Amino acid sequence: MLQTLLSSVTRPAIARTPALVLLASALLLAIVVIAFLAPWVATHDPNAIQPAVRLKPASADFLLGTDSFGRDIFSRLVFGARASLLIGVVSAIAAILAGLFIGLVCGYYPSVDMLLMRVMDGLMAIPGVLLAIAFVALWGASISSVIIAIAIPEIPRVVRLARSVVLATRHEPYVEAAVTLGTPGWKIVWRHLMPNTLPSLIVQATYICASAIMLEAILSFIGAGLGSEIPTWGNMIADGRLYFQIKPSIVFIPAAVLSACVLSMNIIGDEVRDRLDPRLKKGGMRVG
Amino acid sequence: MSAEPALRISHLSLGLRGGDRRLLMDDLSLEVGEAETVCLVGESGSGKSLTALATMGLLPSAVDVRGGAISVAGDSVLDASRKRIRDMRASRMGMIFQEPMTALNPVVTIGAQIDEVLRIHTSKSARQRKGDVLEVLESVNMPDPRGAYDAYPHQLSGGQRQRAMIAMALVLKPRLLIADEPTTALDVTTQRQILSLIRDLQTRFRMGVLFITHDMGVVADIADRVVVLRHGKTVEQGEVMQILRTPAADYTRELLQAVPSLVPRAATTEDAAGPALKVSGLCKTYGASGLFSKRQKVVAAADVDFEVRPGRTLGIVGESGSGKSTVARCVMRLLKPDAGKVVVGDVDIADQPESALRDVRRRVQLVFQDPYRSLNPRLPVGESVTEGLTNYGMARQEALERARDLMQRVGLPGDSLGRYPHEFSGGQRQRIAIARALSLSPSVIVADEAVSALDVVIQKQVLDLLRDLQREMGIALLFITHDLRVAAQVCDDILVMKSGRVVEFGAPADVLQSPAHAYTRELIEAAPGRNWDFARFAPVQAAGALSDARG
Repeated sequence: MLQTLLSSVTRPAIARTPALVLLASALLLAIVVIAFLAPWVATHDPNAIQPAVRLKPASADFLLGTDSFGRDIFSRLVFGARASLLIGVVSAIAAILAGLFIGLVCGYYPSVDMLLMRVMDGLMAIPGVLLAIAFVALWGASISSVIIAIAIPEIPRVVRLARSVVLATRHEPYVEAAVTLGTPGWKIVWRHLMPNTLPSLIVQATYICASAIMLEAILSFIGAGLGSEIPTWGNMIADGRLYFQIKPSIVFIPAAVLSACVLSMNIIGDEVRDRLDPRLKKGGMRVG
Repeated sequence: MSAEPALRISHLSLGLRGGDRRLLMDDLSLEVGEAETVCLVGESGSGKSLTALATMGLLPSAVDVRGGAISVAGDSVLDASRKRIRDMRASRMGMIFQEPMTALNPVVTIGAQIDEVLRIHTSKSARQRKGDVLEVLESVNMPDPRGAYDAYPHQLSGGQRQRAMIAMALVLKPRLLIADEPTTALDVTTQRQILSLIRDLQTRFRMGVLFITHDMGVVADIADRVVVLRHGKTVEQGEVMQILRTPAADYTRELLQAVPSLVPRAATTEDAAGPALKVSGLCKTYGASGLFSKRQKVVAAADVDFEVRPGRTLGIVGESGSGKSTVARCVMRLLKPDAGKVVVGDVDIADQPESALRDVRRRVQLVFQDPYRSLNPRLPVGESVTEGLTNYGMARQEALERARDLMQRVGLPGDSLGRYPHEFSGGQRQRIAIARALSLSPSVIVADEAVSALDVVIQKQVLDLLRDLQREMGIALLFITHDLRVAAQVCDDILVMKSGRVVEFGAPADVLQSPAHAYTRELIEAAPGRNWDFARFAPVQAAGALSDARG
């Protein structure tokens, strides 16, 4: 009671969404809409090679010019949004689901905790990019293998997060009350422990999504990602780097879109974290 | 010394900033004179703490002063600049809080924390300051002041931490000490020491003390004058004897009558039935040495024996660290005892594997201390109350039906099942927890400090409810408490524990009148307000008082 009173001394009472967050949300929303409507938004076939119009500057026909094969940069950008978002969102969901499951099990059952957590430590010791390259080398580059390759290195972090929440809440009186009511272990985990992990996992998901998009771009850039028949922002940068001196925009444009997208996701993630964290909640006050 | 009182609050009114015209504090006036103790009494939400914060100039920004004035030793607080208030805080008024562990900085030594006060407010040299700090630590009777100077808060016991807090508040010899429930988190014996320390220091430094408490027992022990608050309004104020003897307001009378007295209640008739719960030779030791560490072993329970018959109540009384909660957790099999038997009905559950416990679990249920944490905040209370029933195969609809009955049984509207825990008060939540415990029709209920977190009036209501339910359903109650007064009111037998061992066992009348063990005597001595019979508005008569009152 006193704590709540004292903590509100230092905090302003007005809660409002910062302009930056609104901007980031608008940008991300636009990218999502464009990705969904890619076939209608794009002006050309993203893979149509036209040697006659190589490296053309922006014009009415080619909104952002063409690349070294004469492909329309705007259309590739639009379709690239699809691949990047798909990979980002799906690998975030996959990493969260797998990590949540393992984390809940580790947190609640000490017998498997020791073993599984050492496996997770091992995974964390390997750089994510390296692990991803190894997976892609093993299975070949397809959307699904890239997603798996990106999701796996993210799992240990999710496991740690979920596990720490379980460890912190499993001795709460309401969990022990459930034990005394004869609630089976899986039900305690599902009903009483899992919901506590969600706020932090939702925040983590936005970060994973952003970093997955980055990782995909890195894989494409070093040639371990998707082939250029599937346009992604990463392989657009990779394809363009040889012509960087002739036409810098060929790299800058996809790079700028990539950065903006990742930055937006991180900004939104921060905002979600602030809103879900009761300690950072603004203006709330109880008088006792 | 000036003629100005240490604290004068006149016509203080507080409200929520931008809120409606409802007042959090309505026209409070009080005075604390030199070397005088004024107790501010009331239940939670009465505005006690808000008064303390207003005096310290620490009001939350959401709270608005609607009128009135506060002056400390003649200096106005409410219209003083921030800098002025900072200066006043250490030199004219000091404050101590309920929980010294959170009020002290955990990563700075005690000495450095007190030194900081001197460094900011005086221009003394480092050597002088150290001398002053050691002197003040000595004056609060800190054992080994030099050791404490270099100790971190976690290295001290709760009582020592509170001494350190008091030392910090007093190092500049303020005119006014504000104590906000400073002993609520402490054991009774420690509470007694701290209270007498505050008394001592007060006469020595001739300072005024504004003492905030909800415990009338404490009031009877230390107050000169009393102000009773309720919902931000002053119910009554006056000399302590006048309030205790002839309370004018109904609310004060209710507050006084709710104070559990050390006079035991009439014994219930012995039940012939066999014990519902029988514990024998129970042992539990914490801190086995691991692979890399060798921790000190702590004996939490050594050779504990007792039994509880249906319809009867056994109280386990002890201070923190006595092992009483360990016993409760072993009985619940939330902990596995190292040795001994825990027989529920006719099954020994001490040694059973987790999978075999399912059937027994429903026969022993637990009510926890903290009603704010014992209900899952994310689930409607109906889900919590029906959880046990559906676990044992009852259909959802039927379980909800039963939950509705249970809610009515514990005095809550049956249609409140869809609401969430935060929509209920502490007392109501404890009722819900009781309904949940009853849902499986247990033969034994373990109440682990089940009423310690509640205001006295609510405490009495919950205790009455427990007693009614017990009588009606023939439940054996294991009542765990640190408060001998509550135990005296509730129990048929009392078992006193210290450091994991049973030091005394017997009927309340015997234990309280002729305690055999020195520790029990110490507990009785330390019970706040033990010399006052609150229900009769008179002092407890000296000799034979207990037996007279019992008849």
